Amino acid sequence: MTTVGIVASPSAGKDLRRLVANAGSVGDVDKISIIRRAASGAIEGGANRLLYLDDARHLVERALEGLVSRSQTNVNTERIEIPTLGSSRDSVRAAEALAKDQVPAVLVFGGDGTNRDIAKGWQDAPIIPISVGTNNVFPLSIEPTLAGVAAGLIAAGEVTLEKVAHRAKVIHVDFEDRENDRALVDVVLTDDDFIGARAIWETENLRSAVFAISEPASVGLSSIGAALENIPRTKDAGLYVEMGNSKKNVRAPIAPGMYETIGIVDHRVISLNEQVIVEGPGVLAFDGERDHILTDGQTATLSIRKDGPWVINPTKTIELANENNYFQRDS
Amino acid sequence: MTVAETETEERIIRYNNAFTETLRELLLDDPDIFIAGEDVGRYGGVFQSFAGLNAEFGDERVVDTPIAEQAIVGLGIGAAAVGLRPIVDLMFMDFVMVAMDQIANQAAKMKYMYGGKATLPLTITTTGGAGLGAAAQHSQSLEAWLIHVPGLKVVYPSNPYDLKGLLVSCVRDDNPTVFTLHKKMLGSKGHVPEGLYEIPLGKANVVREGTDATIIAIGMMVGEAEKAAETLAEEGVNVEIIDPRTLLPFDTEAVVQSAKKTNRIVIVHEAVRNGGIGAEIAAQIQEEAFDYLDAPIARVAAPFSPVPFSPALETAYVPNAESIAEGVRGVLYRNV
Amino acid sequence: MATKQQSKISKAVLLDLHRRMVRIRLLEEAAGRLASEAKIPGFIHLYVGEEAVAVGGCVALNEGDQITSTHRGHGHLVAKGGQFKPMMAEFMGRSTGYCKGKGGSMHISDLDLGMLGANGIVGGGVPHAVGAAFANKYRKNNLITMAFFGDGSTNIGAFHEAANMACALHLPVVFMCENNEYAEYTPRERVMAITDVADRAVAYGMPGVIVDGMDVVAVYEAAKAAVDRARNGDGPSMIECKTYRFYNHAGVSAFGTPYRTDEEVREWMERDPIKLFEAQLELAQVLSAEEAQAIHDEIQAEVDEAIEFAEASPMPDPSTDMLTDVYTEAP
Repeated sequence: MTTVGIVASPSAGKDLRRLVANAGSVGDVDKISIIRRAASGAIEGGANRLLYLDDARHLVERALEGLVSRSQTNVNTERIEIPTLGSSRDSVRAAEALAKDQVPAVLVFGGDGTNRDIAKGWQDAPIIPISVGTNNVFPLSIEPTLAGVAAGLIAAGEVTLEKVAHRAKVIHVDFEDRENDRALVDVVLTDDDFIGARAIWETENLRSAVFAISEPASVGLSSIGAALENIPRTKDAGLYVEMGNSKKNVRAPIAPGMYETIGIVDHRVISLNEQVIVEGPGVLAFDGERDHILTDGQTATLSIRKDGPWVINPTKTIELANENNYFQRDS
Repeated sequence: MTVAETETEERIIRYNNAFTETLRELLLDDPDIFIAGEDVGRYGGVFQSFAGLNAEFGDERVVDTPIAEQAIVGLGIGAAAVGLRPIVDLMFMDFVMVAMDQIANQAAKMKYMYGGKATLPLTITTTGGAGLGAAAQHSQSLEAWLIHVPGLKVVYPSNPYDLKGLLVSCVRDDNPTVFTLHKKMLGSKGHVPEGLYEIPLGKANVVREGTDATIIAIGMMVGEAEKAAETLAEEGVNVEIIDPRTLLPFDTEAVVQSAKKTNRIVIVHEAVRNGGIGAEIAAQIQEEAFDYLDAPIARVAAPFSPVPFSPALETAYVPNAESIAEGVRGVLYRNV
Repeated sequence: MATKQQSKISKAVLLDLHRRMVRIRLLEEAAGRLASEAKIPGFIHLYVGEEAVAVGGCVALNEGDQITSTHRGHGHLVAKGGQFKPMMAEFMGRSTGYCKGKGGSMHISDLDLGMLGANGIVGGGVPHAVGAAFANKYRKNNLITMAFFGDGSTNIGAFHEAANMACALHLPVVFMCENNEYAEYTPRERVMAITDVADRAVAYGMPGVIVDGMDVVAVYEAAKAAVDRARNGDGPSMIECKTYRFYNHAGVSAFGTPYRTDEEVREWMERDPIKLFEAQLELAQVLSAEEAQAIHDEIQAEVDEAIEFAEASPMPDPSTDMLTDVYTEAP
């Protein structure tokens, strides 16, 4: 059996950024077709077992239903046997199940948050994170068909993982009073009291941030860091930034279509495993979404480690397979 | 005859133009009035009843809407509830059925179910009646569906003069009204004074005084009844004609008085006979004037079928002067 | 790190959000009790569980803005500023009620407050919101209209017509969906092929977003963004609030029904919007548990007083009141 895992976040592409910024909307019908394209690619790449999380909206199930019933190949689809709650916990538990099965390649559809959940459930999962249309830093903007082919090729052993994947950095966040958490792109302390609608679109409340990735050509809070230092996802370093009233300002696209001016009080490159302590009151936003409240004096310890999922580069994967003439056939 | 009346009598315009003119004068008169409906804006309405209004008053006051009858009436309700005086058009009376929830469950009941606080100065205009080969879904006369609903007012003018006065009254009324034009009468002519005037709602018009029998006729049937009256006069029968003009509230007193005078009643409407407004009028008359009746009340109305398409069938379907005269002969026991 | 600035939502607004939610809850619990004692005749559709939606929405409005409601309308009226005495009197069919005893629970309204009426027809009120918004735009009065409706009403033609018309005419409307997962007693997935009502928004030409309808701050933030859009002339938006009614469609029982599981009801009750918010307020040091209790007590006293008022109020008189208010008489 050549297995590719599939996890989709049903809630991606529908948050408040459609009102407060100019983010695109991605309806379920679009998501289903994206998943279907990727799944058909995975079969082309050699997968014959698709192991998936049956999400609350049954997106994957609906995508595969249409695909597999029409497919000539002998492909098994199998749902991951966990009870689902319709929350982000589902993705974490799905990742745990995929880890148990040691699935060689997992297609992850969703934003930074979904990939974070996968990383929580399976620290060194081999993944292809696929953006479903919102502004995201961690997932790739790639045609899902090709992402699927790459997953199939890895799963079938046509291309070795180590040649085409890099290990993702993770921002570990250790709390005094609650379960530790982690982020893949950035952790930002804001001056809010509430988690509310989660998204962040006003910049005057931003206080400090740790970025694992700050690449200049990206949209989101990490673009603030990127304006100061280019920290690629593959680089063994991170960035710490303090924000507030200052003579020094940056212009950054913190949300789609939204360039803002942010005052920079201080910033420095930080090394892997270096500890940064942030202190409340405030709200910690993980990968752009408000997530944890810190009350006055409560602290969280942040450190970037290179112990996250293996992120497969689909372009490289397909190129390698091409070199081996994978796509040539004798009739 | 006063001088003013002589002057106005010279002004003969078409029924359809009287409608457009009245709307225009109303729009000029009251900034709270706006018009919304399908094709009423740039195109001027499928019968050109709204011609020129959009050009003169702009997109804000003469509004092209989607083909969405529920939302058109709902738009009128919401706007009226917060103080505007909307005129919304439903093009064909058949489409009233499409919007029936908004008309019957919403507009008509709001005042009552919200304890009197809702005031809905809303006018719904539409066109009823057969005769244009428009067949089953564009030709109906559905006034009976509407008069069953407390809270509505239902108006059906039979000539250009009444059209103007009644439309002004509808629009100025603080209740939801349904104002029906007859599409076959759009080209008919009559005298219409310039400027706004009101004809009170709920007041019937004695079109012709007579002694031998009373014809109660609605809409286009009034004209047919007048023709019938002439034929009958040649036969020595002197009929009275009453045009209720407003179907709800209904001027019971006017028809009862006439019944007491002529003792014979023929009710004429274009809608099918079964469950038509004629049944209600007949019931009201017998409640008030049973002892005065010398013959059963007769009804001349359409047969119980959808409006047919073929001219051969449609012509036979709609009551006319001949069938009305025959009805009168019936109550006089003069049938040949 | 920068010193703590004022949070985005003022303390006054936070306390207002809290108070209005508690007002709805305590009135509804009392109404339910009275209905089960047959002191309130007819059908009663309780808003318990959904308080954050009406309150988050209405607090984002200005005085003079209008709302339209559903057959579950008590919460909307309270959130818009409705008074207990005439509400309770109306529930009991008394002449002192908001509708003089002629409307009852299902038609509760106060047009003076801009609450254009609860509605016994599912989806029936949505076109009225479009009409009111049209009037606002026509008069250039800078007011906007918010239409509350359920997931079920988006399957009705009138909703579609109204949403399309609002977008076509570019009117200042906020479409506020209370997705409580059930259309009366039928689960959403049996009658809709999509999970998110927000997916429909784009088809009409407006943005649609999803928020946690149990989190009043999230609803408020989203509503504020949509209200601002409408007021700025940017046209309609749709907010889908994921929420839940604790009691059945009608009546006062919550458990032991064939259409939903007790387990599901209990899970949602864990996310009681008032308890969640009170915990947040305590954490943010805005309101202590003792202070919250005092507010409950104060409002409960007001509810009790309203019950006394209603019970002491006369019934309408059939001989004089039956036929009044059918028509508006000419002045």
